[in-house]
Amino acid sequence: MADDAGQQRELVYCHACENEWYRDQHGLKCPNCSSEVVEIIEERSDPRRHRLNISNGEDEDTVMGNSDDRLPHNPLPRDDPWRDNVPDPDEPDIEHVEWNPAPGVHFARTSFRSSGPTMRPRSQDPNDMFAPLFQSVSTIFEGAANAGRPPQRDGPPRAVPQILHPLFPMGNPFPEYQHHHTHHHHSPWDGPQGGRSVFTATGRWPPNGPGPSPNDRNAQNVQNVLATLLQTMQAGMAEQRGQPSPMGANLPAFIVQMLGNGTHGDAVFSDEALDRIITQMMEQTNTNSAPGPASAAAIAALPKKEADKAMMGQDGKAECSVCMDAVEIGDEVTVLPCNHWFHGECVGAWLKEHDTCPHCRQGIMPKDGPREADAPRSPGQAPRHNLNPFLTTINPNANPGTPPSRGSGPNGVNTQSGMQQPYVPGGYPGYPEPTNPVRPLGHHQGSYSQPPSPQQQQRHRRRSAHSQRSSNGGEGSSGGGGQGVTGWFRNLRGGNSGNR
Amino acid sequence: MAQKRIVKEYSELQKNPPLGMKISLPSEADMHQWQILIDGPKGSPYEGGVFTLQLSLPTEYPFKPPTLSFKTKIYHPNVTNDDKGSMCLGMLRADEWKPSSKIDAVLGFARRLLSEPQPDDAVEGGIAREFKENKKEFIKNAKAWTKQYAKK
Repeated sequence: MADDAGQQRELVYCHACENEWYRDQHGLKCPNCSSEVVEIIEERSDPRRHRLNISNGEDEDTVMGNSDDRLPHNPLPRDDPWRDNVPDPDEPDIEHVEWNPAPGVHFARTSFRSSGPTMRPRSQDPNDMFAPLFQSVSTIFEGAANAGRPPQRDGPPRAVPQILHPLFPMGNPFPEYQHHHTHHHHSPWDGPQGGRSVFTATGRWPPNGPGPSPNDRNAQNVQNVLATLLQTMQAGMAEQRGQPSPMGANLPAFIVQMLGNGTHGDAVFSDEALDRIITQMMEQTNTNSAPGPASAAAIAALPKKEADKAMMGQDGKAECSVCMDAVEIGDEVTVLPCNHWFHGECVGAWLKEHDTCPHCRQGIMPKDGPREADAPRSPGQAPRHNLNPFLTTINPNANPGTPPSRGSGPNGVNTQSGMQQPYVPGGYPGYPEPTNPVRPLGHHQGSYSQPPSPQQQQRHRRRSAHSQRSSNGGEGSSGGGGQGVTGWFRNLRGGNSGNR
Repeated sequence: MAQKRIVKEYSELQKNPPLGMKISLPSEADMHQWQILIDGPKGSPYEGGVFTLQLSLPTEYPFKPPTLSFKTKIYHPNVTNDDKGSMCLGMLRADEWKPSSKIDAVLGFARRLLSEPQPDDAVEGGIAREFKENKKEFIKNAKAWTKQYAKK
């Protein structure tokens, strides 16, 4: 594998078995383990890089001196701006990079990741640019709040910590300088497949050692750096919004671009960017939080009946609300335990993926019983899944026949929208008033103590996934929420003490 | 099923277009991409502007939810200020979607969100904060953007 080959042919890396191959030979599926969790290696994003750090457990000089020797198979040229400054982390799963773009400015990024078998492939779709960040959780360090604190060690002055171990505080040689904020500690992306990044931007301590009163100067120094950074970030954002940036030219274009986009590599630099990533990740994974399928046997065992007059709406018409085709008297329909009926084929296609009524979102599987129950619940039995935020009632005595057809007009509004009328079963022809209130069942009901707007519903989920990262400053928040970069820094500084 | 239902919904919406909206197909050959023009609701800072939205219906529709995005830049807490212009609609999330939801309702919801931003559920945190804490400034900015980007 010569260097030129790597530039002309795309090299693909398998996250599952660490195999590598050329895309034009074996495509995007690992020829070794058949995994589809693969990534096209790019100069700027080499998934093997964190392995590189693992492979050498010695000091920085050794790393730099031997880096080529360590990588006999690496076809990529050594043009990575980060790479010359890559010190070796002590922990195998940490990628740590540092950069000093200007005197007094010090960037460090530490990524933690464990390459679980379910990592996503890197997508080539530009719209999917956040995909590689799927498991990235941003953790932010900064030294500003330290500024007023005297250094508690003797010896030569030195830069603020060069090695950051937020996950392993015991291993940190400079615990007194560390402040970290972790976004969503308990996000679904933490854990076995989790990864996170630490981004630090700090100023150096005075080079001439701790003078009689270095602290004020330290504070000023750090403040200045932060101010510069802040201006840069704002400049980047201003540029993004199409306004000229007075600061943009003063710092390397790299930073501006990086900060302007709000994302780079595994790190994000603004709350909005993080939010977007999270949202996108949730969109990609959110089927996990939806109820699973109903069992095929239970679907097949759903009662069928011929549509009768009672099932027709007030105008004498009815339709299957899945396909929206008209249902005539005498047509065979399938009736769910909630008494909503549909074409058997239509509702079957939905139920085999989601155990919820297409109309009221109550499931057909019984709450109690084996996972693969071979019969649907009886109407009086509690559903295993009940995603209906408004209908906290199951209705054992409901009249058969519940036209889901609503046509247009007031009944045609989507009842899921919390901004509109809540779902009222009695509002539909033939649908009796609920008579038998029970508590909402199933874990999906947890957040529905009152009818939320759909957005609130969504927020509930996102909040739980973000672990309270919100503009109202949930604990554990980096304070990133809802206020742009300025607030981001403000909160970062204000909230430091609690997290140290 | 998708095609049939989409055609049905489309023709229903052509017959009874939702208030302040024009729905069309950028390409007659593709029923899965709709273009929606929404008038900025009266009384909102978007009044006077026309916003172009794109509604994409997946081939699995109605078993998979459609997606809705703003093609016109808008200063709104619930619409991402990026090239996607994604609108944050709970009912369109895969785990909240249900097949009986109609496009009519989705569009109505989107328009409602223009009149009533939901800052507590923002995708643009900075704008949300401004909306909550400095409404005057928010309105000024939203109006300016409307004027700049959403001209009739």
